[in-house]
Amino acid sequence: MAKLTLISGEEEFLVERAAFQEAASSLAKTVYQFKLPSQLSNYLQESSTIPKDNLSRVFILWGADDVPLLSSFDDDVIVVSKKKLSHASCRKSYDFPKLKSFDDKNEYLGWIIKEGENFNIDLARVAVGLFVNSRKSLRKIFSEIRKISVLVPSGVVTPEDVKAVLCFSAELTPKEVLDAVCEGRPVKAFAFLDKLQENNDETGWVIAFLQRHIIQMLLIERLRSSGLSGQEIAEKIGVHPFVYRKMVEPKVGLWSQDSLLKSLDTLCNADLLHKVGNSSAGLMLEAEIVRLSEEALNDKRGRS
Amino acid sequence: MPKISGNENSQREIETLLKSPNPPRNLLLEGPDYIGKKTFICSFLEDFLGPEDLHVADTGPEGAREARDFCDSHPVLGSFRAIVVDEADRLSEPAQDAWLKLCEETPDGCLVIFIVSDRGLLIPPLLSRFVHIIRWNCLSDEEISNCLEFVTEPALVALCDGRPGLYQTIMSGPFQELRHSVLKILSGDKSIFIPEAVKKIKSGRSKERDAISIVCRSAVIESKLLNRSRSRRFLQFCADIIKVPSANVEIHWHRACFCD
Repeated sequence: MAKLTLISGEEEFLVERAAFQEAASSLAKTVYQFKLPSQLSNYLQESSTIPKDNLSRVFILWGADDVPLLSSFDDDVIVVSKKKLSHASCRKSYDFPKLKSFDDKNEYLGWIIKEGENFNIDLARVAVGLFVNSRKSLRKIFSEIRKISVLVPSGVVTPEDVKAVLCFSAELTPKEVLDAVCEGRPVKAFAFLDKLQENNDETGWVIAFLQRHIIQMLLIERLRSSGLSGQEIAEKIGVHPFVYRKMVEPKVGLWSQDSLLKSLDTLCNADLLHKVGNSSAGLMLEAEIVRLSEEALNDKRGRS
Repeated sequence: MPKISGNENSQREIETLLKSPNPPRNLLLEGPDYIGKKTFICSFLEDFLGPEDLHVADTGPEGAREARDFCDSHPVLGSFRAIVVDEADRLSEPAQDAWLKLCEETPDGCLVIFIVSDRGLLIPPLLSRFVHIIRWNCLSDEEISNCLEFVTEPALVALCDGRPGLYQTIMSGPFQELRHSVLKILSGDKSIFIPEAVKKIKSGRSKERDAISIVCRSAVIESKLLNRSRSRRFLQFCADIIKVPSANVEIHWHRACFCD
């Protein structure tokens, strides 16, 4: 009878790593991977055949909604799913829920320190820096930790050690300001704006970025009202349907049509003032960031 | 050679200068856009020297280098070789520096002609190289009527303010498309469409801004302020793109279009 392991959770990197670790620890000769539900029939066919030379096999089933029919041979079956599953013949189960990143209880920091211990290095002093640099991408953080473990001698890792080897993957652009505005977090948006302005005056860049976003939202609203589907809208505004679905669509509807028009008006005026060297453009931009953030926050509260 | 209406004195002065035994090495033509400066000088030089000895330089970064290469060879048919730089006041400062080098050491048998609408935009060392500056002016009503034989839109001629080339540009395809778009939007059409004339210029100084502004203004007048709010927006659009040459025309077009 097959040995079943259930792995669930939304932290893709941890789920994936656990699945491969399980497969490796089973000491099986062959690892088969199938994506469900599209390759379900392939899995059923493969698992029903007698293993070659009676050697054990591992089946990793990605994206399962349910536990499929198990192999009747002495195989390992690892079922990976987003939601938590249960099964009578389950031998082991793991769950990796999304880590929390609240300011007072940032689970990512704990995870970084624990990963450091696995590599015999103390990351307590640089955990925040690693988190800020790579954000919530555990895959990126892990690759940085692995790099640090190779290049830095074991023991306490200092910020100076890390700076020399860190890949600054989170380069700041006005997109971060816009994302913070869409999240309804004006303080965060100002922090990014200040950081962006450290070396050069980037007011024009930020204004142009926000203008483009507002125009895109207005276009989408208008296309939606004319009854076009997501695919057609993506084509009209010139983005890939996947990008539209993942990055653009979640931001649609945060602001009303009137608010978007008001914003476009203000940003255009700020743009003209900025281009003729009037410093009040910066103030207008900041006021608009606050207004848009608050509206986005109100919209989120309304939705929840 | 086509006949260019108006500015007869300037035309005569240029002919006299260039046909003299010792023609100047640098020449500056100054005057508003769309009054025939380039058309005149190019057609005159083509007749006088032949097309092989005339080079109309690019205003991009490679323009000065190409002009230098052109100067390195002897005239084919004419008595000298001529380089025409149109819209020279739109050259960036580094590009003007590159041209300064050529204007300071213009080789024998070469002539560099700059055409500008505002000489104040040239850097002082470059401007100082031009001993001969010939001024061109906008045409009078009489000259305009001689120049434009078939006028279908008399109201537009008045808006063009003595610049026949501007009228001809406005009557061309892309600008007529722009005019129809503005009229459609003013009559309540909500389609999302950016006319070619707007797409073509995004930011930076360009003489097409004048044409866009006049076309939009005339369309608003033609619509008899059908939609007051939108009309006001389009008039503001016209003012903004002229007042601030670095303003992005496409973004300000959207601003005018989206308003209800």
